[in-house]
Amino acid sequence: MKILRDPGRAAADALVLGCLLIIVILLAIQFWLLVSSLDAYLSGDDRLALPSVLFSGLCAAFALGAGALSRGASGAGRARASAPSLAVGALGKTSAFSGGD
Amino acid sequence: MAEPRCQVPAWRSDFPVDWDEDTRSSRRMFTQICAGSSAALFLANVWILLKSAWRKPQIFPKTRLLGIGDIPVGGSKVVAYPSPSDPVVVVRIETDRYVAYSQKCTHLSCPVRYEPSQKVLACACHMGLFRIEDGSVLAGPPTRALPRVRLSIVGQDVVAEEVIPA
Repeated sequence: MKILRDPGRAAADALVLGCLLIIVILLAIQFWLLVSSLDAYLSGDDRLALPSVLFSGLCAAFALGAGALSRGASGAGRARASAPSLAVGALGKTSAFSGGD
Repeated sequence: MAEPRCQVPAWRSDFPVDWDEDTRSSRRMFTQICAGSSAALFLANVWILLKSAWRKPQIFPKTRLLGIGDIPVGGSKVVAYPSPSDPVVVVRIETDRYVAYSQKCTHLSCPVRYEPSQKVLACACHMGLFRIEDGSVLAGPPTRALPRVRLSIVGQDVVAEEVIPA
């Protein structure tokens, strides 16, 4: 059986991977912010708490947006992976699509 | 004509997930976990903000720490201020000049002690050094200065007035 790779599914995979990379970077920034604000809080300095919350919230919003985007892309990729089998089958070709999540 | 036998075993409905699939984590799932972790870190930051907002300002009573002649010039003594669990090291750096700092190192809370030969406060745990004049960091892993105790001399007594955070 010849294994074909759906280009739409590949693009969705790349999008999911890109979103994952962005989220990991944002996570690292947020972790650094949390450690800094906790260190400042324990030393009696409260000035850092509000800017840290604002920036961390911005990062979380971006991360959740990227998560939703990756979920949508993954869902679209799955739909594309399952739908074309009928069309290809109608052409009389045997095919199977493969790819990661 | 015999009826076709079901190809799916009976136990399959009770155990629908294979052993390999049970521990499988997809990229999609990992992305969702990371996004959730991001929200959790944000909530942790919000918690710190709320703790900061609700922190009560500490009231420092004026307390006699020691008498003027209790320690010689260049000497030091550990006392407690503002509570018995807050050790403070008082150093007489000149005849009429005293300084006092929290004895807890700002790195990992090891006790610091005065080194008269180098005129620094030293933490023996990780070799953190603090300037005796203002408590700022000279060397080592600490990143913050020592909290300073504001002192005044009233008559023959050295009196602590408040703790100034680093």
